[in-house]
Amino acid sequence: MKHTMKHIADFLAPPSGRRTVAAAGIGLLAGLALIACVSDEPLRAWLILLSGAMPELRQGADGGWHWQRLVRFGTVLEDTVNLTLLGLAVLIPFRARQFALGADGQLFLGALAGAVVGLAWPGPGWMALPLAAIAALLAGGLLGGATGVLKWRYGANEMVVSLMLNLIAIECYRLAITRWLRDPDAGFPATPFLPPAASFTPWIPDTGVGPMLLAAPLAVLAVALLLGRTTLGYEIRVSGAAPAFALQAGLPVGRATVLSMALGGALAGLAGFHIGHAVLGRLPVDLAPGLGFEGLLVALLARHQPRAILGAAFFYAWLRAGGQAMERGSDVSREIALVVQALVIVLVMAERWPWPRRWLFWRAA
Amino acid sequence: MTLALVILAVLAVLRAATPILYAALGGLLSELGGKINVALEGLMLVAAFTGVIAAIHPPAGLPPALLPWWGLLAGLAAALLLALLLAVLHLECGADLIVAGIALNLLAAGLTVFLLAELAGDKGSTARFATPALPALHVPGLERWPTLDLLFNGEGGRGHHLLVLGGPLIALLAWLFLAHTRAGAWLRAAGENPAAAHAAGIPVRRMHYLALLGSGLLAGLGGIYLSMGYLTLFQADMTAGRGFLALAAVFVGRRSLAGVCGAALLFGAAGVLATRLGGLALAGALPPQLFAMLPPAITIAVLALPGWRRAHLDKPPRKLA
Amino acid sequence: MNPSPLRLELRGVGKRYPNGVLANDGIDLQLARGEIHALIGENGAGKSTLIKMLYGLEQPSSGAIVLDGRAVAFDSPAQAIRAGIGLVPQHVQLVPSFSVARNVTLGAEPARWGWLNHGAAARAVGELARRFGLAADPDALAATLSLGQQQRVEILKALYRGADLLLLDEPGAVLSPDEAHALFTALRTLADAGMTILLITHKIADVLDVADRYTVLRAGRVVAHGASSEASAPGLAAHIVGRPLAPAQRPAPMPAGDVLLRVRGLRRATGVAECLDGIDLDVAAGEILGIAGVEGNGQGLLARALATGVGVALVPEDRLHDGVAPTLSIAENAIASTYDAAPLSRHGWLQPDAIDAATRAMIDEFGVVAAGPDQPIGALSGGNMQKIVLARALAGQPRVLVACQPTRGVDIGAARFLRQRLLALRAQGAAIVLVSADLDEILELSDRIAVMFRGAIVGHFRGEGQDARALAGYMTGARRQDGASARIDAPFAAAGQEAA
Repeated sequence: MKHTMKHIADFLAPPSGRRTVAAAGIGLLAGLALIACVSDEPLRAWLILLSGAMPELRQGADGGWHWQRLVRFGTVLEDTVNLTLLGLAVLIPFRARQFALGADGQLFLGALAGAVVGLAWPGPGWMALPLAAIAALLAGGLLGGATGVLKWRYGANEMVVSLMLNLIAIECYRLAITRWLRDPDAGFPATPFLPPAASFTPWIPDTGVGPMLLAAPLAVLAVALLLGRTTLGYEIRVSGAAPAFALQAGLPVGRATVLSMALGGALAGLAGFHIGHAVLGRLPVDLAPGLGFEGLLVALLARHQPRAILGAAFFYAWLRAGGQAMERGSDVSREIALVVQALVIVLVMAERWPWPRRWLFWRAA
Repeated sequence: MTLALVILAVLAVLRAATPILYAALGGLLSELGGKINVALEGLMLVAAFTGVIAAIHPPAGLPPALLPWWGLLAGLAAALLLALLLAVLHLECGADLIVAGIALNLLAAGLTVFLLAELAGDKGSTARFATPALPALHVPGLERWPTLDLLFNGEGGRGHHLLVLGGPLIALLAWLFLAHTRAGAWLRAAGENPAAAHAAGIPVRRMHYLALLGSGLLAGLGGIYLSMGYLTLFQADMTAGRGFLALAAVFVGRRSLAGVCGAALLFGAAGVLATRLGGLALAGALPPQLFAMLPPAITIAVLALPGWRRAHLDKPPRKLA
Repeated sequence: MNPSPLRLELRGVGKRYPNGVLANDGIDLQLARGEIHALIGENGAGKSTLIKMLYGLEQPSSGAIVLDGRAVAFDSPAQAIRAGIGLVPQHVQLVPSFSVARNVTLGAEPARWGWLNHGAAARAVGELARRFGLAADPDALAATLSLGQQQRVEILKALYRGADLLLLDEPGAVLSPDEAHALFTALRTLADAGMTILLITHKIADVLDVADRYTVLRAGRVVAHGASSEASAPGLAAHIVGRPLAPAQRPAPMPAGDVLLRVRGLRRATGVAECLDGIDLDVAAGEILGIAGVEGNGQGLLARALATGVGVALVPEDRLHDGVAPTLSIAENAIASTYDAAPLSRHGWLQPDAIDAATRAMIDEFGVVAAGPDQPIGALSGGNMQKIVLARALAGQPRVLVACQPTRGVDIGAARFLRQRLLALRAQGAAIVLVSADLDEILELSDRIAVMFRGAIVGHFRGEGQDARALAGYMTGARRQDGASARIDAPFAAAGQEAA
């Protein structure tokens, strides 16, 4: 009996992979409980939440098999790409122990830079997309680097500075679109549609899912390699794990800090490029901020491990689409998905669970 | 005449600075206790939300005069609960304090929007409900001295909101607590040198709880002011970064009470300045976005200033072969 | 009830940690009232663990602690304090922004309904200071005090709580010979007034100078005890080490090499207690320059300032904070000075095989006891960690090495190994600056010695044939060599006799 109790106690603090999955499960069940408080048909609503994003294979009138709800699933894939990039954007600075919250602003500026190049590039068409991507990477990288420099040179806390830069960057975006990039024919303030040379051909029709889908796993691989196998990644990790030691050992801590935030910013900028060129095709002035914080959630969910980011991003995007389906198909509003996510993170974040363990041991003793 | 304008401006700054001040005092308390609280934003949000929602759904038979106080209590209780969650996650479950704070900010944002939709039927705000405000204090009999009347009773003679008046009072109480009470000394010791405090028999963990819960309470007051004073409704994302401004105030104020209060006032002033400038005739020539960029730019400048001065003004002499 | 003549008795006390380490084994100890008892042993002999158990910071896993004839068990320092036990820790634990009075009364402040009474605190502290001859200014801020003054505050803290059994953990480590003398006089006064004192030390002189009785610990066990009047230095040394000590081997003198490190007019101001006030020094190839002085006179600052050059490696003072990254693996720690060049990396890409091989070689060569290169370095013992720290410093083939307190907190075997490596490095022609609070280590290893006091060099000595008493006067600032510097050609101070 004692042995069993010990096993249970040990299970409650098992290695991370198992625990994250368990936490996700508990979070979803807690979501069910919360839904039950506000809904007349909780189980049905909950099931829509879990399955709403799934595309269906149905037999059509012509006897052939067709995919249904592909557009919704396409949204899930688009979101996954965004969230992967944004999660990585938070992850890299975090490994250097920098809590950079500037992904939103970097995304906006990256989208803007990419759109400017896409709209104004006069040269050969095949160069438009790569150049726009580079412009987005640079814009986001510079913004992130600015936060890093302010921290390194002047000790300005990066949490607050990055949030402030967000606000400034978003205003710059709005200014540029209302003043200089506005499409006079559009019904609402937005840029003109990007020319075909600067656009992606979608793989799933009517969605933004195209070649950029590959950006997610490639970015994960790149970041994992960076952190694990390069000297810069080593510098970033050591600066984060033991800053005093890194300084004393002669590691270029300041440079690593700045570069970690610049690289994170570049990835966030790339996410902006993805939204502008792959998903929306043009940039509206009222693009909603907040995506950067969802990237933060994904990074927390993945416990800041690159290999887990893809799964965490997909889980988040899946739940979000499920939430939207649930809202349409039942009486529960979709923010429950956000609550579930935050709960899962809270569960994942704890290093230990003292009470059940102590209680179990006490009973077993 | 210009004196009246100055007084009006000062009053506007005080009103804008009040929520930041409360949260910053909370941040200072937790920072001095050795546990920095980055969840100030979420704490303000849940307090603002719960206060309004409780006022919309009061217990049966509650006299209307008590409605705002019921909201106040409910809001503070919500903030305390969230702060307790933060404390438990960090102190008992070993979660990283900053990561936990950020996660709880996100939880608060999602939870308030979700519950807003469920309990008030509107995802944007509670505007369609009439929710009360906490009372204002009015000094009677000053009609013969218009300047004094303006100072003490504000524009329109209605008096100043309780929580605006409470701000400086709470700051004073905080100073008294930290400098003159045993609990305050124990808190500071637990924050500055936990090993020494533990060896002296001080219950360090209890002090850490006190730091976090106290900061939750204070941040809650700031949030309540937003939804039951500054405005009388709750909007999604009502706090708009004030919690982080409060955090910035704690950094800028360098752990001193006077510095933190000054920084809070500064950030309040920056906000007022941006709004006023934006409303001026200049707005026709200059785009409004430029004015919106002003407060964040000022915040960054203020944060970077001490470091800039250190780097450029005193260079230590070095001589090494 | 007859009060037992024994204030404190330990019967078979033992401590086994959860990870299996046996720190104390069957300790028997007797302390009478008004006795000054020295508990002596080398680093790692188990003295600290014993003190922690007496103060409630740890609990014994076997045996009994008997206070005034009654068995006691302390779960926390608060309980030990209530029983009249006071601890003066080795590393002062004061709150820097609090005044002396606030620090002394910490945890037991005079207050009414929670409202502090500043005046009463200051008065109580002043009264205690007068009574026991421990000079202290109640209103001074703790951050501005010297280490010796801070230690006095720690003693006042224990006395304020009504301690009548004082535990002093290595009190002499941070004191100059004069301050130590003053401390011992004060201890004598306290003992005559009925205070019982347990003095933990690794210095034999403490036993002979001030203690009434002594107990020797080695490897967690009691190996000898008795009256100090009957003890002798060689006898004690033999008990501490376990075998008759061979006389210290001085390194063979080396031919003078080129000056590898030249410093002129180095100044630093940190705004707190320590500063550097115009340091001139040279270190030549193949020599060890020892920097002696009471801790807190700028040596740590000097070490950090010197280590910022190219080709200069540092063994830092604070091992856990600056010397290693505790959560990272041994390999990740070991490559910190050589990671950005071949063979450990190429064009910015790390080479895992080369890293693994290099780390294994390091582990073997330095005799580090570890599970493997991927083990988190925080799991190693202090001595093994320090070996990696030194190995990493040497891996970059430095021409100059600054070693700051290299054998502090390290067991005897590892300490001896580290010292031999320093000598080997010297033989290879590197220049070494050795900063150490262990005067014996300085005297054993240095070719030249510079004494630091208040941020300046006040004496320059030949390493050969010096003894501690010659340096003592300079370390306390009582004597000062005119125009002292550690330049390679600077004159040596006249070897002085013991300062008045």
